[in-house]
Amino acid sequence: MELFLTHDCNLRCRYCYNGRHFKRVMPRRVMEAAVSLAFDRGEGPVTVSFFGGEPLMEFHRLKDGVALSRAASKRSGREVRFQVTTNGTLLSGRRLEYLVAGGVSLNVSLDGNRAVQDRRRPFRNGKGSHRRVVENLLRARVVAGKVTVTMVAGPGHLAELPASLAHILSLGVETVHLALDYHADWSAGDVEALGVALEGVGNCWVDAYRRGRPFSLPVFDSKIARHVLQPLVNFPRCACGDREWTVAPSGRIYPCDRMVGDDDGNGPVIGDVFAGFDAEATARFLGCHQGTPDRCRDCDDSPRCLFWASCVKYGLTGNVGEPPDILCRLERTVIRAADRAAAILFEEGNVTFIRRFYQGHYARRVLHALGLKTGDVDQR
Amino acid sequence: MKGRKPEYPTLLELIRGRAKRAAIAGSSAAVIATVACSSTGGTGGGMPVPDMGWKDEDALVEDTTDLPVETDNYIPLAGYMEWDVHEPGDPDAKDGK
Repeated sequence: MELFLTHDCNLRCRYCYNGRHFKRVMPRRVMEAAVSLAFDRGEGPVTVSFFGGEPLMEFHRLKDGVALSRAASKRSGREVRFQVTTNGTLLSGRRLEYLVAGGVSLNVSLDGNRAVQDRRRPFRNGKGSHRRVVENLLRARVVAGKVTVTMVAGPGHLAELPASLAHILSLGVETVHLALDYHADWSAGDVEALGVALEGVGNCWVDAYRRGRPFSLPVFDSKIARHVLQPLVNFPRCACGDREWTVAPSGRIYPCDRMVGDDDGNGPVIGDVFAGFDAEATARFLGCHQGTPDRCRDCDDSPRCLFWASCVKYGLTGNVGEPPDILCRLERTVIRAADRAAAILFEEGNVTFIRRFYQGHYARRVLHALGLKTGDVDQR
Repeated sequence: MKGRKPEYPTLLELIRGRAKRAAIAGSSAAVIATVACSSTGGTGGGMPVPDMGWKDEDALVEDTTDLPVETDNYIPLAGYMEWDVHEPGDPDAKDGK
């Protein structure tokens, strides 16, 4: 469950998809109801994520959420895990200490080097945020041991993407969530530029493996792993609207944080924390999220494509129905870039690459389950 | 719509024997594991992040806690790795790798 603590934010990112940043904070009664709902629903560990707006602007609310969730965890016997996605500007001092001591996973948004970050993610007074975010990120990495970074790529700065990634890696970050700006208008030229940029990203990724110091780049890793392990391993679609959902300050439940926007009720609302999930609305949403359009059924790329991803479709078109053509072109561009990088490492016989993708946890488990031995695998 | 076939193999393609591969691929039991996935708020793209067990490279090789089987059974690509660890230009390397 994700708690959208506030709409307010101290940054004014050029591409923000989360509506106007008015002051609306999640009331405690909404939070209490949300936590109860999360622990009453399903089974197993509960992950509570804090999001916004900038969630650290409402730090006391975040602490309330942690305390309420811990109490619910104790009552229910279900484990609770925490994570926060923050712009990093307030990730310092006591806030950082509290989060680290509480075992809260940290995900910081940073788009790249100074030029890119200051242009795309300025403070609301227009000043650049790069210096503050990097200072805090470096400290957080030392204190927490691990911080993941989300960087957003979109038209207008694609040529700077490889350098931006290299900059983030130079800060010691080991996991980079490279997300495309699905709310932007992507022209044919932009898609072409994305292909070139991702080739540069791929070179950076390949070099890291060659040095024996790989980093996780889920936008590539997920495409490659899906290819290597198909059809032996099932990679589920994201569970938004089912096991994953977001609660807005109003108490409305959305399938995903990317659909909250101004929370005016016009988005794909699937319930509210007081009345619970709206079975009809949830089923309607899941029907779109879990279905496969006819034109995608025979596509070789569909096992690795995001044609089903409701948040992406919502960003690109404003609804969660049919995937638009542009999504097809973007996905194909990402898949080709990931495949190019993987093929280079396989051809070189890169040991680190082989270990990760062909001998990792799931590969070993699958072969063991099939009763296979060393000799059953091609030695070439 | 036809995509371009990736120039690196699937694990299934590395398994010896066409008949065996066909049997595995055609079996309803072929999907025998489900990757644990989690989404990170704001990552966008909807693609769950697969937990591939990459937390620690050493643990990746040494960890046998969930695989109570013989050593030569649980590193299924050891033979492949043997081929693989030669440095480029090494005269012992097979296929010029």
